[in-house]
Parts: sequence; structure tokens; C-alpha cells
Amino acid sequence: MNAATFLRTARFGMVGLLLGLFLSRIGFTDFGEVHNMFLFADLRMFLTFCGSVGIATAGFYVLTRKKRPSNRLIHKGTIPGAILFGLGWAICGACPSIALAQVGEGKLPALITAVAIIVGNILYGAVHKRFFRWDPGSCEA
Amino acid sequence: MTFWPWWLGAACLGGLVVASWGLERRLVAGSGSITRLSSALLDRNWGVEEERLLSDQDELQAALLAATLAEFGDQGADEPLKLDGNVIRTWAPAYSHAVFLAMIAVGGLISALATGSFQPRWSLDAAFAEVIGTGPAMIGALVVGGLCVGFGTRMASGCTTGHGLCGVSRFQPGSFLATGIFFGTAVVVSYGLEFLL
Repeated sequence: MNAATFLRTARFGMVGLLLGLFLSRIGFTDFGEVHNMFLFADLRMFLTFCGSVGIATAGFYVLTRKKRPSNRLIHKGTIPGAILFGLGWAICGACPSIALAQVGEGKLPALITAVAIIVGNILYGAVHKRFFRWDPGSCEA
Repeated sequence: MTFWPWWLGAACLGGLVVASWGLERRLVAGSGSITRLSSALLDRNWGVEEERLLSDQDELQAALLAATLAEFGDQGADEPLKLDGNVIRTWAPAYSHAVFLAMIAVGGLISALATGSFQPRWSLDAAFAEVIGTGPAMIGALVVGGLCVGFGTRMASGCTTGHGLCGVSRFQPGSFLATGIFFGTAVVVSYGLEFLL
């Protein structure tokens, strides 16, 4: 590992640590809070999400005027994939990052969620290679 | 346990994704890192070889020329493949993504320790036990839910952070559609769980 990659990995780690900390303190790792957000019984987390999108909109507007990240277009997997994700999130109360933060909090069953998410991801890779022809793009910039 | 008020959570979460782009030219994406991790697990390739190539520009040019020749034959040699400078700057080996994912768990641990709620246990929380159940019901829900999340996020090319936070804020059509649908589906399923169980 060279110095540049070491520093980049350290910065990755720092972002991960803050993400886990924030998700936990906001309440995204708490099934009851997430469930109440989806039922609109408690608007706190819904407002948190909308507020962070608002801040990100302002930030990206300023920062991406010169250099733009890649576009996220609609493809054949967008709708079925999002339906499956929404179904899964409502049942297990976790998206990929949340499951890991839950493990850190000591909620050991979330290990099952995390492993199932990785298995689901690998499974999709195999299914896509075998059956689908479209370009799913990347989740990253 | 008391959670952060919405404005504090929004400032921290929104600030984090913007800072990550500003400093790193990288969008925070949980499912993207999971995809990199699963590819590395399957191929047993953690990106060490690519990292070595990228750090040596001459070797990189030679590898690109060889790849061009292999793909297009002699007529391709005039215009060898070029790597976008941004790719070289933002590319990270798979183990960096593994560190990112592991540190999310450390963040959760710090949060739990700081609030005095850290206690390793074989349960999620009271609400989960009430809505879904415990024991086999819990395990079944986590397996099925986790598989759906893993499969679905990769199929839709993003999750809450990638589509919801980083995509909607950049007015990306795929992200608007995906976020509307996954949130809408989760609302319908949550109401279904309330009424059925």
C-alpha cells in the first residue's frame, strides 16, 4: 500500500465512522423509529432525511458546477430493484449501512441482515450476468 | 434513548455527503461499497495489482496499449484507450471499501458507548419484537429482508445514501424514481405489517 492509498483508506474509514455514528444517533438503526417514519407516525426522521437532502442539494450545487459526478439514469432494473429494496427495508429495518451500524451497537442479529445483504448482492451479480443485458451503472461516483 | 432533533441529524448527514464529495470527489454509497466487497470476495482480488499499476504511469500506459491491441487489433494502436483523470484520482482498492464498511460498525459502537446503551445481545429492539417477533420469526425476517435489500439495491444501482441522499439532491432521474418507489413500497409494507400482524 502506498502513502496515497493509505491516506485515502484512512479517509474512507473516517467517513464510514461518522456515517455509522450519525445513523445511530439519528435513529436509523432503531426499528421502531424507522417503522414510525414509514407509518408517518413520527415525522422527525422523515424531516431529517428531507433536511439532509436539502443541505446536500445546496452543497452539490456549489461544488459540482465545475466537475460533475456521473449521472444516474433510469434503467430496467430501477423499478423492480427499488420495490425489492423498499420491501426488504420495511421488513428487516435496515439498508446496507444501517445493518453494519446495528452490529456495532451490539444488536447481534443484525449480523444475519448484513450477511444476507452481501449474499443478495452477490446473487444479483450472478443473475444479472446470466439473464440481463442492460447496464446497471455504478452506485459510486 | 433520545435521538438527535431533525435539524441536527440533517446537518450532520447532509454535511457528511457534501464534505465527502468536496474532499474526496466520492459520493457516499453503502451499496456501492458492498458491491465492491462482494466482487473482491468472489474474485479474491482486493485491488492490490490495480493499485500498483495506477501508481506507475508508464506501466499503466503500456497496459492500456496492450489492452487496446487485444481488443481492436492493429487499427486501435493509433488511439490507445485513455483513463479519465478523475477515475485515477478517485479509484480505491476493494480493501478501502471494506475499511469503510467496518468503520460504519465502529461508528455504531461509539454511539452506543457514548449513550450508555451498548450491550451485546441476541435481539434488535422492542418494536421489532412487537411488529415482527422474536426467535425464528426474527431470523426469517432478517434473512428475507436482507436478501431483498442486497438484491434490490444492486439491481436499482443504489440505496438510501447513493440514490436518496446523493442522487435526489443532484436531480438525477434514476434516483428520483428509485427513492420514490423504495420509500413508497416501504410505507405500503409497513402499513400492511401493522394491519396484518
